[in-house]
Amino acid sequence: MNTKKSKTKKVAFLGIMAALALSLSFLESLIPPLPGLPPGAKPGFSNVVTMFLASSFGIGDAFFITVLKAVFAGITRGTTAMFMSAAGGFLSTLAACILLRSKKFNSGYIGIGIICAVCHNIGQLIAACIISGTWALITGYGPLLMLFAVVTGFVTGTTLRLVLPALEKTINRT
Amino acid sequence: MRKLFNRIDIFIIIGVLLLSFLLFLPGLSDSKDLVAQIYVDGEVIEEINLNEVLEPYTFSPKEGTVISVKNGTIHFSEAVCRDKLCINSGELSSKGQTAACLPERIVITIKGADKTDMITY
Repeated sequence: MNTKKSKTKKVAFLGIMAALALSLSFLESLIPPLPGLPPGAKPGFSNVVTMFLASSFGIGDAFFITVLKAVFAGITRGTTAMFMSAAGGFLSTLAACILLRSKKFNSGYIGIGIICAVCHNIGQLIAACIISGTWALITGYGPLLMLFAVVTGFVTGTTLRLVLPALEKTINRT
Repeated sequence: MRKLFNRIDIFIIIGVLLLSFLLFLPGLSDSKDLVAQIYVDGEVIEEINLNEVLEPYTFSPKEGTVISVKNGTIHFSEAVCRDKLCINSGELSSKGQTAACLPERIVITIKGADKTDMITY
């Protein structure tokens, strides 16, 4: 990724990743509310994209996709959704950048997936509390969101581990 | 490359489960009364003891938003937002359940009325 020649390919690749992240977010929004879970709680498959970018592409690129996701949420679902997406996205992308690039923190992908999902949900919970002005949401939604994050983090962490070799091969070719 | 799963991951999972449990504790109470609190713009505007509701009724804390109350349950029945997340939260009928309409800044949460409240009333 360091030569001038590869810049076009880098932009093209990032474009594909952006499209992937946005289509995954859109597909998730079609999932009906799951009984027992706060409505709006989603598996977070597009986190796989930001986690991959954070680990192997570039920190700036990972945050770029995070911002893009928030803008997309804003256009399709309104300002509240934009703030929620941004709050969760920034915290989880930050966690992904720090943990996936750390040499000392040698947990598995599942652990990192879970931490990112937890950070995402904490960010959203805090944003929801600030927007509504009601801290009761933390005890109202918090416990379930944390449990849900274990499941979704497990899925996204595993997915990341499975697709990473193929994606890294693609980057190295560009 | 990292492993998919190792010992540290087990501690992470236990830590998150513990966090979930800690957040769950403040909602516990030993009372049987279901008391719904309705927050608008961060302030409790109404407390309804759902066990004492005899006739079903509806009320509107803000224009366009309608909350329906029945004996033992409460839910958002109309909303002005796009995604209708608050309506999709369904009927709240047990302690700790929450429904929120963020764009309108309205939150319904069911707390268990604790003993000190009952003494005060």
